[in-house]
Amino acid sequence: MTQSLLENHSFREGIFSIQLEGPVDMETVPGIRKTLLGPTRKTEIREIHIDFSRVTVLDTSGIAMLVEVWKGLARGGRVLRLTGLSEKARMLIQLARLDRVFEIRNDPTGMT
Amino acid sequence: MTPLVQSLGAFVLDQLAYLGRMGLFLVYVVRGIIRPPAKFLAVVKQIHFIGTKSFFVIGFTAAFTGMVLGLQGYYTLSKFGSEGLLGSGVALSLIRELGPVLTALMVTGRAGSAMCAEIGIMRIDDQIDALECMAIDPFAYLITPKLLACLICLPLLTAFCDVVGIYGGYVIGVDLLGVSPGAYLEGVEHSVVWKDVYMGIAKSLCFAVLMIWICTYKGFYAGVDIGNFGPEEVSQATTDAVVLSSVAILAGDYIVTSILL
Amino acid sequence: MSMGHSDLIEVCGLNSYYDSRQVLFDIRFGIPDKRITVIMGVSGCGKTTLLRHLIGLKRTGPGQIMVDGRDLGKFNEEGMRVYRRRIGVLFQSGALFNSMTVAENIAVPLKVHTRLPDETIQIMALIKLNCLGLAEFGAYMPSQLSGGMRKRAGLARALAMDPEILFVDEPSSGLDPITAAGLDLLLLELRETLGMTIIVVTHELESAFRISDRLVVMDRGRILAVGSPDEIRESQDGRVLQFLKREADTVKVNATGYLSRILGNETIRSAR
Repeated sequence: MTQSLLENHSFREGIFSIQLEGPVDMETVPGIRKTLLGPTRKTEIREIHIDFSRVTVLDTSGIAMLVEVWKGLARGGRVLRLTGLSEKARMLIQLARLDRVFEIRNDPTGMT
Repeated sequence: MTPLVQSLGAFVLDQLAYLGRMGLFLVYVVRGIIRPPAKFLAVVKQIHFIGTKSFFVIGFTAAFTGMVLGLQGYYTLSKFGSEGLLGSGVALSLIRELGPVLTALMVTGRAGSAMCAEIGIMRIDDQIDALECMAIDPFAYLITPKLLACLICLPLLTAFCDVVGIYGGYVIGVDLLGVSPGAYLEGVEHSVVWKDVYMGIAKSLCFAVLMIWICTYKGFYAGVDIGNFGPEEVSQATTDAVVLSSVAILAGDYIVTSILL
Repeated sequence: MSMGHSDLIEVCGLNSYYDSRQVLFDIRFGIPDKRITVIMGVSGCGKTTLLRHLIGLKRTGPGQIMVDGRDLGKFNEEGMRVYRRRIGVLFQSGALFNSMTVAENIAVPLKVHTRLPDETIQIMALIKLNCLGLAEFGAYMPSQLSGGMRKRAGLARALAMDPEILFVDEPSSGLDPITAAGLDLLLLELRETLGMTIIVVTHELESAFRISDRLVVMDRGRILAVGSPDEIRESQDGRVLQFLKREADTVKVNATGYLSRILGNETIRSAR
């Protein structure tokens, strides 16, 4: 079973950046979720950037997790930014009518 | 001649198939204990449905049974001048026989029929097929919790029935008919031994299995043999379930009694 | 009859019996990956039996159903479990569990098969409900919904585990034409956006031609034709033409049959 490796996560100037790798699906989401929800509780974090360019699969559970992260950040007007989403992942987010809610960028600018 | 033999043969084979299917059903339900999904909440819900909601029914049944036992017992015993044995008579009759049997019959009528109907309706509405197609074991998901809940509830309800019944007998015997309260209660205390209680518990456990097995089986296969899935079939299944369960409980009563006595 | 090499599921010579009565005769066709396949025929032609074979509810009967090159009939329990986690099934009535709300219905497979926490599952259920226009109805009990809404809720549940393959049994039965068309559009959208393989069983001619990539025409337990909607429409096969004409002529009643019943007269039978 391939686990999503949480590589390249960094915290700088109030921005928590993380690059996910592998599948973000019903098997892996319980684990990833814990890692992502932690930062939402830290008040010094203003933004969370998640890079999906190395993610192979994103399913509804992944999107639900993003909603939870977004909700965690919404208090205090903080931002959730997503980059590197595949075409299919984008369509899935669109199907869930959440394309206007998440900030989606094409290029992973500002990511180390 | 040949058609007759053929139909007879077909009939026998069909009945064997049904028996086999019923046996396998119990195996799958028991196997469901060790299989997912997690059942704790489901069992609690079923305990509420089978147990808590049967409370008053059993209470009433027990009260009137105890009272009638007190009445009849007094009348019979007074012929031999043995009114003092009323307490023993009522207690032993209830704890060894009437408690388990009446409780099981009442719960069958109330909860057994409801379970049969509920599962039968699920069958005719493709809900059981839906569970299978979602890779959820319908036996483990639907029926095993009911079995576990009944194994917990029935002995407890039986105990409750016994206590209320003994008190009912007391009310009639002592308050109405003048039996000495000391004699009544002493009779209860000294004639009831652990073996009697154990027999009552063993019976209620057997009846629990019989009731769940028959009622849920009938609901699960409602309409399957005829190939017609409608309310008629559920209604027929429920009636069959209650009748068959009741008969099985009474037959089982004799068998368990003869084994344990 | 086209059976491409990219077929996800292949039915090879399936025969099926109920007791001694044969209901399916040598069924052969393929279900292509990421396309909509419609199995079309009148009630009683055996298409529901065929569907039950495809979802593994009926496993006996000579012949094979190959899924990814392996025989479905020979799958053991674990194999069936894996297969069923890849599929979603919408039954004719929706088959919602009466004792729980719509949202709880959708959550059932998620709770059983995943370790996702309740909060996440709730959001997933809401996402699915929203896709089907039922976002406000999550807390309703199935008995409080109309037939059409129950079907949509059933579809939301079928989609809960993000299946690769979706089976739909009679999507338009019990629905008014507008809702039925809406459901058709949704199926098309699912194929477009998610690349889902969808198999629909129906008797509705119009709907079948509208949404299918591959059409399988069945009559009395046999396959009459397999092809794209255009191929079927332009088919020169007499039986297919007769079938299509017979089904399209919904207004014309079988005059002689009716007259002989009402008048009880043998000679009417020969008149046309």
